[in-house]
Amino acid sequence: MPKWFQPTTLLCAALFAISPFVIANAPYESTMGLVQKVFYYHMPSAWVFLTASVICGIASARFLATGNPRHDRTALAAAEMAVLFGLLTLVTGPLWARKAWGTWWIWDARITSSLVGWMIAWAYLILRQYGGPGSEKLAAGLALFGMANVPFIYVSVNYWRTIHPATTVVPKLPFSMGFPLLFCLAAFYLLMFLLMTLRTRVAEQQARLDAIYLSLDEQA
Amino acid sequence: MLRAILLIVRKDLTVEVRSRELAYTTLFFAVSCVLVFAFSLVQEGRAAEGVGAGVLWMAIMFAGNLALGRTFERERQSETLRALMLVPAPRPAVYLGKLTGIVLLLAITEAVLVPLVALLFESALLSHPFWLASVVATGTVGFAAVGTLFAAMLVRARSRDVLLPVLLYPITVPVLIAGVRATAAIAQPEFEVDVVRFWLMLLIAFDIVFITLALWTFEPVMTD
Amino acid sequence: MRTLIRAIAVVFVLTIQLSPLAAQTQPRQQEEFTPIDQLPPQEQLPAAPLLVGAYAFVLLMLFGYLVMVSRRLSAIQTEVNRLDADLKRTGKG
Repeated sequence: MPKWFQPTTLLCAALFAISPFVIANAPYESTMGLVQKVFYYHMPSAWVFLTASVICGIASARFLATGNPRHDRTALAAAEMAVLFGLLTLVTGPLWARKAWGTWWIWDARITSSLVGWMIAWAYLILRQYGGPGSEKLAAGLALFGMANVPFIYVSVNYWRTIHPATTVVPKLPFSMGFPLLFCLAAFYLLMFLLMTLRTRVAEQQARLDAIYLSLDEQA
Repeated sequence: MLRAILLIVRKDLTVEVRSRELAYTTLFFAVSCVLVFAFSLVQEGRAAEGVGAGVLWMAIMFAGNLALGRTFERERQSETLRALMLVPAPRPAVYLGKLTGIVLLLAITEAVLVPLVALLFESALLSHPFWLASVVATGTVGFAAVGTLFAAMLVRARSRDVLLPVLLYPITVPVLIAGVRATAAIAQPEFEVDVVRFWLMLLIAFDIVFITLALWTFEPVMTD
Repeated sequence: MRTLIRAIAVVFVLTIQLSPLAAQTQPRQQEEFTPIDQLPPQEQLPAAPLLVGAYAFVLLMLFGYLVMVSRRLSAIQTEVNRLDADLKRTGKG
């Protein structure tokens, strides 16, 4: 592991440890009360999920174009990030919604699009796991299709509810880039970066292991 | 290239006409689907309001999934896929040829499905046949475009039977939404042309984008 | 690597205690929930379990994933080192 990994991990752990204190001191939101504080973990999760999906798509495109396995490993790590943080988003969202809007789920454009995007990321992992040999390229194709699909999913889901999209069902979020939010964003993005480094390292070592076994077979 | 496509389509048609296996079994499966939906959704002898559009597209997607899997299974068993890839025709021709075959198969199925669903679910699907045909055609082409690529990709993969729907359904969500919404708008008593036109434009855009994408990725994905 | 994981474990256990948030929930629970005007009024729901549940879920999942990947990395690393040592011993050429 590179030298900067350990100190950076400690920094990230520290950020997460401090975050509850920072969030507790955040201004109290008048309309939604205490439960709004889920927002400080929910929104960074959503942003990391989207970023990871984009990284996966781009890395897959580069992998299909060049065949360099490094891009494939990045795509795999990014997909795992997308599934992980997407899951966090999709669980913290309803927990917040239950209190704020009185219902666990709502077929809003953004939420539904996220659900579909998450399922595509999950499908990517399933394909990599169970597709057998050669599934790297297939999964890259899937990721590419998934990325190309984003505008279509968003538009179709948006207009699916009503042909007059002027009314959005989700009340406007208080998008004040306050310090607590930036703090949590930093913590989450740092964590994503660290986890991706770790995961690509695992994939690298796995590839090295496979190469060693292959060469042993050939020698025997 | 056009000749190559036509040759591939003719090959598939010749095989099919002899046995008619794919057509009959896909058709029967689609009709069974409609029956299952009927028993699930009909209450007190009447179908629920406005489910006709949804049932139609569910049947198309399930039957289509099956047809895709079995078309390429046939290629795999006869090892003709390798032969196809060795053909001196441009690779995209292979893709387009298979796509045309699937679309024709689904068209035959839909020709039976649409009147059946309209009848069983008391849905005024056939009130504007031109619009319905456009919507169903573009939707089928979009579904088949993605499906043909994925099914070809998965031919040599493990667990290919279950992987195809796992990959296909999330990606074809826009087709499903657009198809159902447009069909439902057609079946409504007050016909709103703008609504149908909007969804039709979306479907056409989807078709263009994804056929292009499939043509680009067919080569790198199919080569080992 | 092991000490690193232990350090992170300690930090996460402390964080999961969520003491500052718990302290804050005590006085606030009496406060009336003001519904947003577009939505119908809802029954009284304590926010604290939802909030704590959300945070706990996030931290547990992240921690769980981190542990899983770290363990896999150590296992693979050990295997690679072992094979490398074996190869050096038997001589590659």
